[in-house]
Amino acid sequence: MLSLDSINRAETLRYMGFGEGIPDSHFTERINAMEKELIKTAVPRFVWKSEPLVSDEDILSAGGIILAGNDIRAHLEGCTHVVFMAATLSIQTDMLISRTQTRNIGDAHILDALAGAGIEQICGKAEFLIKEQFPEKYMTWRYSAGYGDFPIELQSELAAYLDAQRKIGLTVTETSLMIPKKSVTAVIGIADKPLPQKRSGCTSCNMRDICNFRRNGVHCGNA
Amino acid sequence: MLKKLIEEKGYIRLDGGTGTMLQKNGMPAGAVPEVYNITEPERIIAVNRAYAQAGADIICANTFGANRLKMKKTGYSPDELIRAGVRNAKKAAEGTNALVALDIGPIGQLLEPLGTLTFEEAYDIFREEIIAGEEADVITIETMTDLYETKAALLAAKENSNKPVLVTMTFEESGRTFTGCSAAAMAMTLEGLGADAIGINCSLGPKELYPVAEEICRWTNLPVIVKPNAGLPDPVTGEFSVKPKEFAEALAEMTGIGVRIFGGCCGTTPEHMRALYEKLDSIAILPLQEKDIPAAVCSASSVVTITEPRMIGERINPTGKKRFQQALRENDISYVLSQAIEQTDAGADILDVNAGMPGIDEKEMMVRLVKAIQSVTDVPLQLDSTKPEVLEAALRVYNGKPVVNSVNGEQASLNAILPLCKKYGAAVVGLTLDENGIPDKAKGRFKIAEKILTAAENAGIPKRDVYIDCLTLTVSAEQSGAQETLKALNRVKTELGLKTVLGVSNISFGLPNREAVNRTFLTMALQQGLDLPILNPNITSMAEAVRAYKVLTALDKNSVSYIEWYGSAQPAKAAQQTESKTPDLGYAMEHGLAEECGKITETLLADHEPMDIVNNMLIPALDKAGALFEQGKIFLPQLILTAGAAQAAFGVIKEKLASSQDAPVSKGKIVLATVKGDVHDIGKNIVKVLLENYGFTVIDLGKDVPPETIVNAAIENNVPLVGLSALMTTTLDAMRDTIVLLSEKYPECRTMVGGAVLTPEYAKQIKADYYAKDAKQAVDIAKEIIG
Repeated sequence: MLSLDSINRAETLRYMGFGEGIPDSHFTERINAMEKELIKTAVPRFVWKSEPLVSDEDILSAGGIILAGNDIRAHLEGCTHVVFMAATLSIQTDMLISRTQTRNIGDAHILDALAGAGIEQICGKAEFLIKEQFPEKYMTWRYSAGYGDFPIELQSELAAYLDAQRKIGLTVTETSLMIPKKSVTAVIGIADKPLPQKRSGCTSCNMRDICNFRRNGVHCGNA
Repeated sequence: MLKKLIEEKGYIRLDGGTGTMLQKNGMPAGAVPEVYNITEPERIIAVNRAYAQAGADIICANTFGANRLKMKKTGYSPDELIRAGVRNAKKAAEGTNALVALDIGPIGQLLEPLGTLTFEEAYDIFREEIIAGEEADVITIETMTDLYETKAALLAAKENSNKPVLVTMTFEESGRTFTGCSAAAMAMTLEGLGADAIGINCSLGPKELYPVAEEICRWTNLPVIVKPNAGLPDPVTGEFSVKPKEFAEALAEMTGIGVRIFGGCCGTTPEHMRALYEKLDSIAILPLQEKDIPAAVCSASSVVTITEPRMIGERINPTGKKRFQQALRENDISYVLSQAIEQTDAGADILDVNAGMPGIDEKEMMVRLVKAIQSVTDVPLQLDSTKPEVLEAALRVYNGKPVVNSVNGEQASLNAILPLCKKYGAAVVGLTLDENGIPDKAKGRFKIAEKILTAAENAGIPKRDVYIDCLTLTVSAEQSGAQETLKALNRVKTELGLKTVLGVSNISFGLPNREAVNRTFLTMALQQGLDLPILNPNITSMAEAVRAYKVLTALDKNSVSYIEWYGSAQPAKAAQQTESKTPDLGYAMEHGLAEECGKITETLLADHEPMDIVNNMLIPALDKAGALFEQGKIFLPQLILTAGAAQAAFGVIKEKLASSQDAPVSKGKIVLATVKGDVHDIGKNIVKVLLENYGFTVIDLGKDVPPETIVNAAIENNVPLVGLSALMTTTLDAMRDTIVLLSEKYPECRTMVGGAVLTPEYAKQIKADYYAKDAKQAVDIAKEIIG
């Protein structure tokens, strides 16, 4: 089982909208206190499964799931298999953030950003463990539904395929929102040969025109 | 039926996994198994038959996911899929004695407060399944992780059929479900609601489930069910790790702790079941003995045993409280929640909830309060009303086992209240009064207590769930009354063996220095055997008396809890004060010190008018923070912290204004909502706090709000401005729909929109009047429109 530890502070500050600012000691103390709360409360979990990648004429699929869109096709170029994964910080984390809002909205805002950085940490750890299962292989970075033209509606299909509600307590609403909120589903490509270093940045992202990170002169962590 | 089966055979045989069997037999990944009931019935019948022929007493029809949400995309209705599923199982059972279970799994969407499905919707979805499964012999509800959803399913089963209901939830090694429900809370809640057998399924292998099964057995006299997985699947091969022999042996161990109903879940096969039945037949299984279960109540995640004095917080009650009455009249639920949190933080073990006051719909308000309070605290609730219809509405939506306050010795009261407590599995407070009022003497009250106990037991309520209130009378009016109350309390406790409850604060009415009288009376009552004092836990000396009493009676072993509460409090406070010297309001706000802000405001109120503090201190400090933010000298999180701190100061001011009956000054009303389909509400809540800081009244409709609700609220309250929030691209359509409807029904109302994925361009495109890039800008917009 995975556990959350010391959370990336720079990423947390960025999620909070701290821009180039440097928090003072009072503020740092608050973040430290909230970080402790989050680590105590969150019950991180992940689940994954690998499937051979099937390319049938124009249709790319794995495990019966159709991987639609040009971006995912480019992302998986040169891959033989994919890993489907889902990870979550648990509903206890949602509950903590929601309850903290009633006590102190500022603390809740800090927690929300910490949890955002926290789920990235968990995904990184999960990815590391998955990688160990494929010692001789090469892996792409995580690609999620909603990136580029990879349809967000795939979220619920991935969750169903991974039996994510039963395995890690992850549900997807009819509007493709994940609950618990601090959750991720992703596709990782597996290849026999080294993969070309693709920039996992804004140039390949269809969200680039409406992205708040970009507007504020930063990016979302995959660059 | 279940008990009879157990008596005859010593235990009951359930079947094993269905989904994993179908996959093994070639069902492709991504296929919906329930659809096979109609398209490939012979495959389903084959799996069902394999279990029936292996010797199962009950086989589950292939109906686990056949609810209207999960089946939406299949083109089949739950009704046809369920009827076909039950028919297939009946066919498979032909020639055997196997009974057929309508099998019900989770809906697949999370319930309120964190999910989008309401309790009432969940109930309705399950009701449809129960009715469609009318041909089945029993009902199994399984793989549940949310106690609230489980309650909806069980209530639907009990109210729409007469079949026995077996309920299992899925626990992790921690002994809790994904949503945090504990084994004990599960056991007492589901037994109370009338389940016929309860237990565990799925998630882990048989060995790992042993401690959870043991815990459930400790808390129930119902037959306990265990249906483990065959260990864990390999993520690459999908193979399950526990083989039939090992599976059977590990489960057979559980007969010793009282498990009597056995089966398997994911990865188990007819071979697993055959091995299991053989093993169980080879050992001697003794009849179960009735065991003593401790008196307790619970929320979904927290169990409070009444094995030592527990404090019931009395503050959630509008009677005699002007600020509270104002909050209920204005639908200001967040005020009520702050009262819940304050009492929880002060150490209340249970919270009394009363919503009765003239001019409001008590039933509707009670349901709102119960749902809202259980979303912010784990502390169990005591539902307080004199009206049966209010109590029943609250009992339905409560998540756990609550206390009902109250029944009394009048026949009409006993007849109306006790059946409700029985049906919903609640503990009940019995007041020692009847048609003739409150008896003067202890003897009379004791007699009524006896009558209540008899009536409760006749209604099927266990003795441990009856708590008697011998009633506190004002000592200044009738001085010998206090002794009669204590005498009666002692007799109820020792002679009837019942738990006792007592509101202590009334004792001192009309006297000076009430706290001293209250505290002393409380201590005397504890010594006479009081279990559940109803008091204000925020009054330090009252909570201290209870904690000290537990030290002196050795209930608090090694004074652990006492030291936890008081051991480090003094030095820590002193340190804080030296650090910040003499903090002024501006300093506290700037640094986001909410608690300090509240305290400083209280001090300031001694020689300042409330509105002077607002206009001369709070607003300037907020303006300063706003200006610094705009200059880029502080950042959004710091602005939000300052707003949060200001909120604490405003809380104190509002309290003062309400008690002095000054009309609270509002700049104007604004409706805020996170749109339909979206559950991200922190951004909206930040905007709310800032707007309130600047004196606007916010009508907060919450998250996942349909367009009609938003438009209706805007019209009803005649607001000039509606603020909408959405965080996801998938919910922007709902934002647009809301604006379209609003401009159609209420064109003079302005809209402002915000949220992570919004841009000024998109805002324009969906015809929003304003785009707010952050909470500060939302305030500026409100000022521009309203002033």
